[in-house]
Amino acid sequence: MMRATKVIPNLYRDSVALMDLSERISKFPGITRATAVTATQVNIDLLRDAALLTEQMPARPNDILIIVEGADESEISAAMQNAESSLVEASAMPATGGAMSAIVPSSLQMALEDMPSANLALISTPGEYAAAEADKALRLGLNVMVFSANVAIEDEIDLKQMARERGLLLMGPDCGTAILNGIPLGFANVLRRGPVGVVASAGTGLQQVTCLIDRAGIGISQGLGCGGHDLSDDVGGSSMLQGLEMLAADASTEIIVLIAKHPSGKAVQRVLDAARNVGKPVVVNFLGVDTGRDANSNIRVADTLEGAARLAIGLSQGVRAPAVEADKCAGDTADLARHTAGLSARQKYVRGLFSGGTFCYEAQLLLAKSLRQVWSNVPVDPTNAISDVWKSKEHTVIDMGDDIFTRGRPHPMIDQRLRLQRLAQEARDPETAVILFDVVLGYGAHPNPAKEISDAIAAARGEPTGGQSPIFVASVCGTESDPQNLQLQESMLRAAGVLVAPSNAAAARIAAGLVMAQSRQAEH
Amino acid sequence: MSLSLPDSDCMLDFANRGVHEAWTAAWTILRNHPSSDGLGAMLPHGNVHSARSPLTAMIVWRAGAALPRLVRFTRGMDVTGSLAVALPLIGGGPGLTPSWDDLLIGFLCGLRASGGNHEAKSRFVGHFGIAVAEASAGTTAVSRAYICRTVKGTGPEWIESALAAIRAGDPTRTRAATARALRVGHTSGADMMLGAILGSSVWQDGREADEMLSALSCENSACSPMSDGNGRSAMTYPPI
Repeated sequence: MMRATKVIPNLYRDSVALMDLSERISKFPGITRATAVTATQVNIDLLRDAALLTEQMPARPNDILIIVEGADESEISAAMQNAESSLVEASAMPATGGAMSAIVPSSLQMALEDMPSANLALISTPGEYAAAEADKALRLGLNVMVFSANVAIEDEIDLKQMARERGLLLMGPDCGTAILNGIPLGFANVLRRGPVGVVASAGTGLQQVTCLIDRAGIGISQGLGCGGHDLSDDVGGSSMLQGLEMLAADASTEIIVLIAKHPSGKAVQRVLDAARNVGKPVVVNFLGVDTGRDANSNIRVADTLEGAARLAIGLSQGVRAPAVEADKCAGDTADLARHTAGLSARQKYVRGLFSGGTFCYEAQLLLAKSLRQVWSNVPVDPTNAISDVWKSKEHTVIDMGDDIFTRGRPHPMIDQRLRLQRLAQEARDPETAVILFDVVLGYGAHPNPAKEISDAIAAARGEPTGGQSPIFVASVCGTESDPQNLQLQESMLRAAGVLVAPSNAAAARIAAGLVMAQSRQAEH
Repeated sequence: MSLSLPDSDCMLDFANRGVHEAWTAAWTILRNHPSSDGLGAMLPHGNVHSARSPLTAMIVWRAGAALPRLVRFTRGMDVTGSLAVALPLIGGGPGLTPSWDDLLIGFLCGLRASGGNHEAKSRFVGHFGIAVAEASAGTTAVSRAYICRTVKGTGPEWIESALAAIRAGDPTRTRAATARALRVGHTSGADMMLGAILGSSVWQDGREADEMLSALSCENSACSPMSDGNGRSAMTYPPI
């Protein structure tokens, strides 16, 4: 085994950059280990203890030490070169037709001066700084998407007020998904262009509806995100109302879909009152709220994300909404019984592990229709709050994207390790009958989630347990044009023995059906 | 360097039930923190095997042996012993502010919060802090700046806020402040909070510090010589 070391003097790079680099270089062909660390004496000693460093070297705490280990000198050299050039940026940006200056912008104003045609700022900073940056962007005349969460509600209200006064769009805070003029922003999918405009305060809700519409060959005009708190009493649906106005005036939008998760009654009323007057058909899916139905108005109400997509598809085709596709992947009642035949009597429960918060929420609503009690870390009913989020009990669905799981680590849509550890834990539990999960594709998401999940399922099936492996049920939210490719991801999961449903709602219904079938079986 | 200590009225004292409840709230959040890098990987929900830096495993291993000794010597007001444990690891661990440095920063803040105006404790914190600051010449400039500022009396704002919330006996505020601190940096927040929670429990009458060490899977072994590849004499110290 050979090693190369390099010291880059007096270089400041933050911890995440150093770790990202170490991880990336470690995956180069022929490289067994790589690391980029601050060259303190103790780190040098620790690296010698780890047999990553053999030579003596002086400690220089403000320098960066890179070590690359492998079997082949040329591979090591290539990796080291890459590491070094990644760390040491060019001193000047190359000019491109005069649009970019030689100085990297360090403020929104500088960036706007470099690119005067820009009309949107996407802000992703720690929450305590995001409001100030959004304020600056609005004052510069930019529309704003605030990806950051943990912004004070008072700041959100003030920012939305300022945006309205200036005729600008503010999406967020805590807005993870948007599609503007066909351009995906944040966690978003590659979608056809078409006549359906969507406004959502639920990111994966927006993704599910737009992907199902795309799957039917219909396209999306715009996908506007409102942020997770928009339909609270305090904020009152400000962004959703603004989005509704914009889509009502947009010539390319013929049908409008509104999506929210547990909106407040006051916000719902404001939005519905506005929706009745837009002069276009509006599909509403407000999960967790009964908005009532009015056959004489332009508003169509759906109980599920899948239902909202069907209504939009039907309206765009000028036909009745297509009926719910039978949940074919698990078959009819006899097939459900066949799937559950091998389960032991102890295997009674469904365990949901979700990367999308809205999927977790929708699954709870659907499971609760037939199962007695469903525990969760983000419960629809507060009395169903699980006491230990790290350990399931009875029927449990977990939002793995919740703060407690993502402190200090990437979201499960990007980094699946924690979720897959939990999957293995649930598979080992002798009471687990069904493991239900979502897979979300698109920009920003894991490049090949189904592969990792399939490997984890195979490993879980290979572990000796007290009984049969549980049944895995999933849905994949994505399109054929997504970088991960919907069909490929679904195929991989099916090959791993997963029952793949066409939507999150269908997957939840199947999971409930399997558990009910198992329960009937156990009674006989 | 001068040190400002909180009033005894604001001392972090577990005899106050509210304070103990708030401290427990902070420890509960911390112990469930799923970190895989830095000293946070020692926490029960940490996972050193998922660490992205090879330094993590090494510093976790060294800290696992060092922390029980640090607690033992600090409890016994033995500055020499405490420094013999703390100083050799300054600059150790991943991050622009190395993990062990962050832990010591938090540890100092925690000791100060629980020491109040107690003379011996004040003296311990003073001597310990000054020695750590002097030894910080061997670490990164950023870390040295944090250490020196902390020793002068002002720890990082997110740590002081969390300790203030504990001292006020407010579990709700403590949970929010702890969660906020854990979001700082890549590993710094967790490493500093670990030090702060541990430091604030060392001089209490109960067994909280020992339970923390147990949860961190620290060694209970007696002191042993540390290897020294640079020809310095190995350091040994008597067991307490």
